[in-house]
Amino acid sequence: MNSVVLVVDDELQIRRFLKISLESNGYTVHEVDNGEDAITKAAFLRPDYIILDIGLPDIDGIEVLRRLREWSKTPVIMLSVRDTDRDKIAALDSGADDYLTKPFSVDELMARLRVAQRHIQPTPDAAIFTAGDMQVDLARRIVTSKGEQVKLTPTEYALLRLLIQHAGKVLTHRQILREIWGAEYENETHYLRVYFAQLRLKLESDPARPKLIITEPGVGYRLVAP
Amino acid sequence: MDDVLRTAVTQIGRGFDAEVAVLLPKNGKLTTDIHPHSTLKLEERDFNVTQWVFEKGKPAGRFTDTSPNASAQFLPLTTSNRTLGVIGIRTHQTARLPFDQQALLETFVNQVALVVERELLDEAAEQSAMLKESERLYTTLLNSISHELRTPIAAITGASSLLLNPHTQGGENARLELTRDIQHAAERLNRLVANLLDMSRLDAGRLKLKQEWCDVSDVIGVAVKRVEKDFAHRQLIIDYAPDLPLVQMDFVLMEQVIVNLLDNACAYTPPETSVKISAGIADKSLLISITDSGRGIPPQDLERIFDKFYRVPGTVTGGTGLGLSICRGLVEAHGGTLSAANMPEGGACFIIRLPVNDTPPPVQEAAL
Repeated sequence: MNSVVLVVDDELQIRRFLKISLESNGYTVHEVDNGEDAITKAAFLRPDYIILDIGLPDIDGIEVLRRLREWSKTPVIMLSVRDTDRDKIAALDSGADDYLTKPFSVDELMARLRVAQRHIQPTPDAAIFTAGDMQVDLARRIVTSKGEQVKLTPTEYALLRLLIQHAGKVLTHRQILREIWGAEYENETHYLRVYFAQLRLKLESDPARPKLIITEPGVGYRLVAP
Repeated sequence: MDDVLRTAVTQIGRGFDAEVAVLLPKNGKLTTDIHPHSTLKLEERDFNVTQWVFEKGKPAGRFTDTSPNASAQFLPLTTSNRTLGVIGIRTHQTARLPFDQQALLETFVNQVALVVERELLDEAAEQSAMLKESERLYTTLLNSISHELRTPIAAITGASSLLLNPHTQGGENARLELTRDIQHAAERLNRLVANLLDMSRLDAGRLKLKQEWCDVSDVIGVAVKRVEKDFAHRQLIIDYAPDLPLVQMDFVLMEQVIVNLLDNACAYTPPETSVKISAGIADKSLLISITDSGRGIPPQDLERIFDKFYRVPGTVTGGTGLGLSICRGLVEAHGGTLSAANMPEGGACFIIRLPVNDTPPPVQEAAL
C-alpha cells in the first residue's frame, strides 16, 4: 500500500507541485490549506508523513507542529520561505524531522522523505554503519576509513555515534550539545567547531571538501545518509 | 553644533566668571535635557523658568523681576523671528552684573544665537541633501530592479507560452530547453530577491550579527560546496594553513560573502580558468583571499566596484551591481575590510580582512 502524505500549505501552486511530484513517486496525497484542518486531518487520517508550511494563515506552522507533537510521532518536514536560522532551529527543536527552504527541488524533497522513512523503520541489526569510505562497527566500537582503523577520542566517538543514530537528519547545535555534554553546555557551539574539525581530519578523505559530515550553516550538522 | 556650543560655554564662563548651561528644544519642545557641554547644573525649580523664557522669549531668573529665586539667570537665544533655546548663567557674584557687563553678556548671547541659527540651517540643508541622495538611490534602485526583474520574467513568460502552444515545433528537445530556461530564470529571480533583502537589512542598520567562534575551514568548505555546480568545469584551489584558530564571525553571513566573491570570480573570468581561495593569519587579522586568473579590474575601478549599482563598463550583463556592495557592508559590519587588487601575474584578488582580538575559550571533553 502507498504511504500517505498530508500536505499543509496555503498556496495552491505549491500544493499542486507537491501533489504531482509526490504522486509520481508513489505516495498518496491529502491536502489542507490551514493549521486547524491540519490538526484535525492528521488525527483522523493518521498519515505516514506530514509536510507542513511554517507560514499558515490561521495558526503558525511551528505551533501546529507543537500541538501535533503532543500526541503524534509522525515524521514532519517543515517548509519555509524565510531562509533564517531562527525558523529552522525553532522547527527542529520543536520536533520537526527536517525542513526545506522554498524554492526547493523535487529531488531534495524525496531525499528528505526517504530519510524520514528510514527513521520510522529502523533495521533491527544495524550494527555496522557505512557511508562513503567510512565504516563504523557500533557493537565493537571500531571505526575504519578506507579500510584502515581510525582512533577516535571518547567524545569524538560519542558525537559520531549520535550522528549515525540520526543519519541523514539535521541535528541542531543545541540538540548535540545537550545530548553529549549536558544541558548546561547548550550554548558552547565552539566545542562543536573544534570536535567536528577533528572528526573531519580523521574521517574525510578531503577535509576541505567534507562529504560525510555536512555543516548546516547557523543550524547544526548532518551526517550523510548511508 | 557641538563645537559652537562648547566654545560659547567656555567663552561666557571665562568672560563673566560664571557657570553656563545651554538648553535646546527637541522637536520644538524644550525639555529638561541640558546640553552635555554645559558647566552649570540646574535644579528642579529652574525648569519652570527655562520653559517660561523659551515660550516668552524674555529673560528671567536670578537678579531679574521674574522668578528671582531661580538658581541662575536665564536668557533666551533669540534671532529676529524665533527663540532657538535658553542659556543659563550663574556668576560667582552675589549681586547682579554691572550695567555694562550685563549689556556685554546680552550681546554675546545674541551672537551665540546667530551662530546657532546658522548651524541649524546647515544641518537642515544637509538633511535635505541626504534625503535627495536617498531618493536618487531609490530611483536608481527601482530602475535597476525593474530591469533585473523583467529580464527573467520575460524568459519565463516566453518559454511557458511556447510550452502551452500546441503548434510549438522542436519536439522533446525544445521542451526540455524551454523548461530549463524557466528554471534558470527562476533561480535568477531568487538570487535577486536574496540580494535585495540583504541590502535592505544592511541599509536599515537592522543587521544583527550572530558572532560565534567559527572554524574558518568549515565556513570556506560550506561556501565551496554551494558553488560546486559553477565550478564543474574549472579548478577551485583551496589553500589554508591546517592550524587556523577559531575566529569570531557570523558563520552564515561570512559564508555568503565568500559565495558571492566566488560567484563573481566565475561570472567575470573566462571559463576553464582557475580560482584560488586561501586563508591565513597575519598581524592579528584573519585574511581570506579569492584570486582569479581573469583579466583583472581596470585600476581606476578597483574602489568603485564596491559602490552600489556600479558596474565596470563592458562587463557581461546579468549582475545587479549590488553583490560587492553587500559583501563590503557585511565584512565592515564585522569590523573588517574588503578590498580588491590586481595580481602582478594577472587576475583580480579580493581580500577579506577580519580582526582577531581574542583567543577562543577552552574546550572540554564530554563526561561520558
